[in-house]
Amino acid sequence: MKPTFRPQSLFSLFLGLCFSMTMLGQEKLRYTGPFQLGSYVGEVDYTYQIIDGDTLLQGDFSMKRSSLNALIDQKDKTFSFSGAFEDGFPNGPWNFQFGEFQSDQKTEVVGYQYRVNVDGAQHQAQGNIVKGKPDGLWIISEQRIEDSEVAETLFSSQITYANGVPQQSFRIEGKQSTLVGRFLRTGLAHDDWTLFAEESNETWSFTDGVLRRVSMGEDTFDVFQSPFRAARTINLDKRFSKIIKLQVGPEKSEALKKGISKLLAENDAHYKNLDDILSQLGQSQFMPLFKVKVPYFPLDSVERNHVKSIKKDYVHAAKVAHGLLENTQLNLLRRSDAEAQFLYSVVQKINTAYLKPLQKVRRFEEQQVLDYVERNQLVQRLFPNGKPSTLITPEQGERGFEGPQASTFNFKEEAMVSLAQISAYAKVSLDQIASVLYEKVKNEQQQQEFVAFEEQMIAQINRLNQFIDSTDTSGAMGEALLNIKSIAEGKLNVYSNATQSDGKLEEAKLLVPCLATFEKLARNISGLPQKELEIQEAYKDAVWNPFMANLMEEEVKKRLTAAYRNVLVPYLLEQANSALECDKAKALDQLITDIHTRMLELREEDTAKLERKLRKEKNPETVLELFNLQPLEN
Amino acid sequence: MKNFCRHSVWVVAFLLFAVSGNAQEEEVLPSESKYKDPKTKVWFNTYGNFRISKRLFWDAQTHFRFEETEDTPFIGQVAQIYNRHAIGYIYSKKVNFSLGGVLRVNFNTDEDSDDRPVVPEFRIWHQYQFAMPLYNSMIYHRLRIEHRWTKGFADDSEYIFRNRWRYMFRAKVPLNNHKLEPKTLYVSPEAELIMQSGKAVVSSPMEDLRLTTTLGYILTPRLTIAGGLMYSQGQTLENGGIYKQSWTMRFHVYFSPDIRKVKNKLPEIHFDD
Repeated sequence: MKPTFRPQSLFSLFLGLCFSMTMLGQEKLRYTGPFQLGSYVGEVDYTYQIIDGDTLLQGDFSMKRSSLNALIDQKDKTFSFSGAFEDGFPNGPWNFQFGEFQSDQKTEVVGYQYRVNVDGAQHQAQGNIVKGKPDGLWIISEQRIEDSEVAETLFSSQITYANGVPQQSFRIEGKQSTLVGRFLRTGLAHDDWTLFAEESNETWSFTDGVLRRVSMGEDTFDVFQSPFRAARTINLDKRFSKIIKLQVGPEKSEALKKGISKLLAENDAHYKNLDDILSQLGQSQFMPLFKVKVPYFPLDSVERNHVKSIKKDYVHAAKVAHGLLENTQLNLLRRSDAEAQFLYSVVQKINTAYLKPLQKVRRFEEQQVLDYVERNQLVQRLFPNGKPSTLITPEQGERGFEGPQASTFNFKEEAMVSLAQISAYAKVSLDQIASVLYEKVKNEQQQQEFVAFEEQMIAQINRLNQFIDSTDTSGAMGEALLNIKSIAEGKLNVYSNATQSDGKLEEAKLLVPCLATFEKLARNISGLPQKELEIQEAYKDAVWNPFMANLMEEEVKKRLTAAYRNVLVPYLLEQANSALECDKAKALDQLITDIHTRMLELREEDTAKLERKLRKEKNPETVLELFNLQPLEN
Repeated sequence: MKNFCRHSVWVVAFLLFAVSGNAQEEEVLPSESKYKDPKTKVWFNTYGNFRISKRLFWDAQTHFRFEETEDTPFIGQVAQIYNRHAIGYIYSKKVNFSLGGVLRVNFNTDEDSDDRPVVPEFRIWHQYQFAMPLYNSMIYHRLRIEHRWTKGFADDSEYIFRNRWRYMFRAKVPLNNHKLEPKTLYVSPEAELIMQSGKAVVSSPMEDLRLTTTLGYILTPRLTIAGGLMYSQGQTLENGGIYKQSWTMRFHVYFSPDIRKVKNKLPEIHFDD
């Protein structure tokens, strides 16, 4: 046949070209090398594409780690994941292995390989994934390995999925028990789910996802028997356990925690581990969603408002209660104060009888459980011994406490209303108690503060007196020191003669730093001769005397030192000998330090002009200005 | 009376001239050395030392030397005004050198002489001074070499050239302090030998031997005052067998201002410490 050229084939050639161009644009890249995935660090090998700046896994993926050194040294944590991605979704057969092995360190050569026996545990999971969701049979197992052989199966789960939805019957084996059950096509639990265990069997009987009855050995109890107005399909997860707990009561729910719940939780944990890995690499919804149906009692808008106010009041009340219960001052005070002790125990009572149940309401709200509980049953579960009354009687004692306007609160209303009333009452009662107790604590604290301040003041004045008594008090410096001493003592006398009042504490707070300032000033003034020597030393310069052929100390910038000695120091002493207030004492103390620092600075500076200006200058304030220092304000 | 005085002056001058004429004529060494009666002198000396750069200083000395005469027996009258200048180089704190000139104005103190009353004298001099600390004191060695042109007061006197070779040893011992520093009183014994050479020097190479003790007080690093007594003796130029002697009271002021600008002075006021 003679080949003919047709426009159709030209078109397909063109299409083919276009396609290969786009393929080129999205060229696959490959990475092999070290990689970290959550807590897993190992060697990885995968291919990917960069699309719009994002890395999208595409094609085979494998990551593994094992270390012979670690194994021989102590133990090795090994893992290996392999599978494939398509457009960023895990897709296709996947296999996960996690092991934790120890070796007896005995080696054997078989063929051309060294062989080491290991003990430990191996987790394995394998199955198919379609677009990030499990599909088909997934087998997850955990085995104990001894001498490199499977010694015991610790866990095994076999569940079949259709596009992420569990199907047909499943089987989950624990160490000593096996759970067998089945699902409807929609993933809803159906029929009996039975846990076969050595001691006793546990059966959850579902009808179209509704858990009707639970039997545990001899004991059988109903769960959702009576017909209900509305139902919702939810996941069989922690929330479901909460709802069951509220439905059957605490004792029975306690028994339910073992058995089937435990095994399901274990299964969940295994899936969660795999989901964590997959969702870090791409998009996945690997968690198996077992569905159940539960009765539905949606909150209406009025009830939602009540819940809102319960939450608000609870948060406030709980903060106040904890503040009081954990206040160390109050804890000390209540040992000596009967009233404080009584109120403290009322707070304790409110905390257990009011706040703990309200805290549960808050938690149920957060866990979205409230919509699935019949209101009266909720109240029953929150207050098994009946709702509290407005008269709060502590555990030990006959006396009761009534909060403000107790009669206006009614706890006998419809469930949410009465809960809102209870929380509001708890709040106002605690506020009232807190105001009384804090006042008590404050007084006590004030007393202690007074004692602390006064002890400090006495220590300060003693130290000041001791210091001045041990110093030579002749001359202008001595007069200044004695003046400081008498002013400090005068201030303390004024304080001690003042009557006890709120203002007195403030005064004490001011007097403590003031006395500290006086002490500091006294020390600074008594240090003046030392400072003078220091300056004298600093203002010496060695000059070479050609006639003696040696170096001699020469006083330089004499006008500066003269101004310091003859103008500034007498001025400082004169100021210290005047009527000193705290502020002025502080400023004077600072000035003494500043002058000294400035003098040492001026030694290094070019002061020719300054020295000229200082000639015959006798006014200390002018001198200070020339020195660039702030004179004291009088 | 006035006339008589004037006449007698002339008579004495004539007589003296005759004697000296006789002496010059003799010019023979006596069999034993002869010591003239000592003269008394008073010297007022100022020593200036101006620091002009890191290592250079200007040495400026002005001395007023008085010599006794018949009329003014003790303090005498001005015999010489002495200007000594040099540029000094500070090699180190302990070693310095100087080079400069001297203009000395000699006044004729001979009241009977009718020769020239004033004669200038010129010198070029250089000096090498070494200081050594010793315990709390200092000792100094000074070598000074002078090239000197002098002439006598006589009208027909010509300049003669001589070299002077001087070595001085001096110590300064603090009396009221552990070292030489301001407000210190010190005692300074010194001995200087002055030798001379030149065509005119025939039999009298030892021009002068000076033995001095001074007492000084250091007021500030830049100002010191001192006073002391010097005995000196030496051969006369005319006759090596005849020795002149003198007792000299000396009063000194030492000052050493630093005329450098502050900004030059501050960073490197010391040179090698």
